[in-house]
Amino acid sequence: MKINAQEILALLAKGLSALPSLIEGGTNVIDRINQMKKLAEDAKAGTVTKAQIDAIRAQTDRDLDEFNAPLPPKTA
Amino acid sequence: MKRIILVLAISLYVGGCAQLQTLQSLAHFSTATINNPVTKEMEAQIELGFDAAIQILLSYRRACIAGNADVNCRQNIEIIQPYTRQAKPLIAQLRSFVDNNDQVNAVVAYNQLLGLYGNLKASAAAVGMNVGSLP
Repeated sequence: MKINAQEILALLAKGLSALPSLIEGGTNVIDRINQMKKLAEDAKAGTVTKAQIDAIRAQTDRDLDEFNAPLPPKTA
Repeated sequence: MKRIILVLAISLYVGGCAQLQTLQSLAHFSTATINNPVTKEMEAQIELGFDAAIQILLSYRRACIAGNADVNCRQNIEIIQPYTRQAKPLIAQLRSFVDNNDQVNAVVAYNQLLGLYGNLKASAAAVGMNVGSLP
């Protein structure tokens, strides 16, 4: 099998370009899980604030709006 | 490269799973009833669960727009979007019912949202994406 170095480099570049968004996605998931944990602990302690609930609602709205938006036209 | 991405994804996933196991002892999503009314905390918890799934989908969308995802990404996103678009008004209704302590409707909306999460998860899985589960 013939190995095409340019194709491999192009694949590597593409994979590396996707890494930051994958890492960001993973850390955001962990952040949401930590927020769930904190909310559960605060609910148990009876210390949940309106500001905490409002922040969660605003965050959900923002993220849903971004995902629900129509995809922009392909650039290339 | 695929292996590196896989290892990173697995590391983040395992990290997330460990967090989820701890979470399961604190929070649990069960069907709401009049005897198990929807509190503001329950409503916020289900929003966070939805939002966690959205984070995975957002990463995919951003990679797709940047041209770094698979060739079917646009089609895949459009398959999932009907479910996430249904979630927006349903969540707004749930918030309003909870804020006004309208438990009859809050219970219905909450349970519909739980069902929608299941549909979202299934549609994402059908295009090869694991968006996790609610604890």
